[in-house]
Amino acid sequence: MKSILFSTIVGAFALVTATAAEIGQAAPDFNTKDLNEKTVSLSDLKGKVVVFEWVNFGCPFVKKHYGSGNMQKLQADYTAKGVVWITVNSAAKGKEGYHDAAKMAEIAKENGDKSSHFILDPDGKIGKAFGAKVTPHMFIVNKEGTLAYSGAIDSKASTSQEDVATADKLFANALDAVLAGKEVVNAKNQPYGCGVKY
Amino acid sequence: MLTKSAIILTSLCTISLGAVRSGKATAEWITSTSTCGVGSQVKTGIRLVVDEGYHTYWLNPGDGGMKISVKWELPTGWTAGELEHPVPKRFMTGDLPGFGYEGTVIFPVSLKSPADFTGEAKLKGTVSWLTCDDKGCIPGDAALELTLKSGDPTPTAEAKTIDEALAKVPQPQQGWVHLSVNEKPKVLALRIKAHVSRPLNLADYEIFPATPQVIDPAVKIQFTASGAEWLAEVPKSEYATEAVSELTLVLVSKTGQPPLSLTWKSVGK
Repeated sequence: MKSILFSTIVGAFALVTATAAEIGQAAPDFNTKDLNEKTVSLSDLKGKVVVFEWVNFGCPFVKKHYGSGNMQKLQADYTAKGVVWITVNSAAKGKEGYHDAAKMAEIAKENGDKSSHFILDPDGKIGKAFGAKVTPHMFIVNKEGTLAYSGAIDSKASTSQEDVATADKLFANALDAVLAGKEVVNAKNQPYGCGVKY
Repeated sequence: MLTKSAIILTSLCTISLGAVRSGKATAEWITSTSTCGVGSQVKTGIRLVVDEGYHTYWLNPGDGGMKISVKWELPTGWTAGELEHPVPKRFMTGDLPGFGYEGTVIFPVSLKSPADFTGEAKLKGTVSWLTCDDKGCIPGDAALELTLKSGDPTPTAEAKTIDEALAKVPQPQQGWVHLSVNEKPKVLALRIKAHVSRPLNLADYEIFPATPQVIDPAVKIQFTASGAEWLAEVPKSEYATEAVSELTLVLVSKTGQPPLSLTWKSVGK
């Protein structure tokens, strides 16, 4: 009886993880509009390296990386290298960090956002398809449209800006590897942050 | 009139010197003695009183969250041990399973005075923590101070509180009880065996994974008796992408026994 119950739990667990994107497999496609009303579709971006950053400006871990300028610098540096950077807010309406498009554009601007596209995902479809758990949660999709990285922005799970300089740059190292056509070390790791407010 | 407000201000300052409010909690550094001799251990603790509705995190925070940390500024010759974590409870933050504390939690920490300690020492530590509820997370930090004078130890009013907190810190067990781990593709097969002279009924314990990113934090760990052993199969953490080399389990008694800590390390580690 107990073992049946246990298998059910394991089965349910497997089902949950099976729905989220896996490293080495095709990243989930979507078609939506960004805050500038431009259409964004992952299948249209084949041939480019695409970064996904889950954001919530109410989260202290996000504030750490925007307050220190780290996130905006990564956005500027890598978009200059041809990377398409998509920042996603999956907060549901009424939850912390949710704003309508006009207000979100204002807040993104205040934060010095330098992403290629900023998209709202209030029904959480894109977030859940990628398996975005926290903010910030970083993903890299390679030129073939395959998920190459899912994990933390860096190694220091703190809210302190001074830790940015001394942390292992897990995400940036992975992105450098993808851009260089090398295999990503530590392609899946536990991201730190606040839960995505689905 | 002026004198009166000055007095009120002074008394307010005196109160706030100990406890520091930040974010959604109040932090205070308490000590079992205000005096100590040379080269001696002093039992102290960081007391965090978390606002109702919020929680803070264990050393394995689960998915999301953050454990408490402290940066010490100690006078020459003083040393501080690790911040010890009492037994946690399980909770969910939105969709994310986690481990930690609600209400009041005390993290014991042992200090050691230098061999030439005289007069008075002012010790400083900046504590950083995270509190969350379903709506959001709010960090807190507090620069705490403790003054210790040279002399024979005399227990403070907090000495009992610190001893009670220490009793909630799981103690590593060796010799009489063993944990072993057999890694399979998606699960870990866990085995606990206690010496026949000291039976251990795991049905009386709630079990927590202290090592982060090894066992899926969403799953409750339940052992079943099999002869003289206790067995469990638990799903691995999705982040356990390399071979599991170490696992510490914390066993929390439902019947008032002291909490235990069992560690397994793979051969060669």
